[in-house]
Amino acid sequence: MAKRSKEGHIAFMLVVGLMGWLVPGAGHLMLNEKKHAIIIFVTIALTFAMGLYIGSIGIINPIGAKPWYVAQLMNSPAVAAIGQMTRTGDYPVFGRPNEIGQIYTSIAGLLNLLCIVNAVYWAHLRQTGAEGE
Amino acid sequence: MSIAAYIMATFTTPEHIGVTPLSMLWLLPLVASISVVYKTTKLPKIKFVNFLKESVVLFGSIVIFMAITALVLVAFAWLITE
Repeated sequence: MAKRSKEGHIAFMLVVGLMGWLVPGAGHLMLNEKKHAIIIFVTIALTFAMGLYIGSIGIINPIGAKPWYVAQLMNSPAVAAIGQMTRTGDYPVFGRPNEIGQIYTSIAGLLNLLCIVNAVYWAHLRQTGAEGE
Repeated sequence: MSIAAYIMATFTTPEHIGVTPLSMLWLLPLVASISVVYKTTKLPKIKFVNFLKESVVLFGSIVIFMAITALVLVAFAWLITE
């Protein structure tokens, strides 16, 4: 890979991180790691969807469950759109389905954050020509 | 009911999950997800058999460690309350 300028290098890492946030796995796809990208996308999307299935979209609650919401937002900015729908309180959910759904969706978000950091790190390593992961 | 309406209804009404010991089994799919994603970030090259083996080992390690932790906590609670 050709060396970029320092500014170009930082911009590339930012784009990789941003793409990884927009669509889980897209950061790795930009680095041409197709297998990694597919596994990350499928696993995170399934975990998030399972959380929504268990607890309904009501578990995305930007008013009453802000810390969970922040973690859920790490999945994708599209979560904010669901947050706008549920902001009115039309989808109440309580008890175990709420707990399990919030845990699933929040863990999916935190896993995506791990993948974003990983993709940015790999982008940095490739630019600097370092060996290893 | 159309398919779209059915799917929408599925995601707008919560499932019925009681507060029972069996509800703890919901952690297993989550542990599987964590194992798979973590190993994806750790392995620079993904070969199916090796990836599967590593993920299963991590999955087993997490479940066993959680079971041991649960047993220790149960024993601790038993010692305090007896």
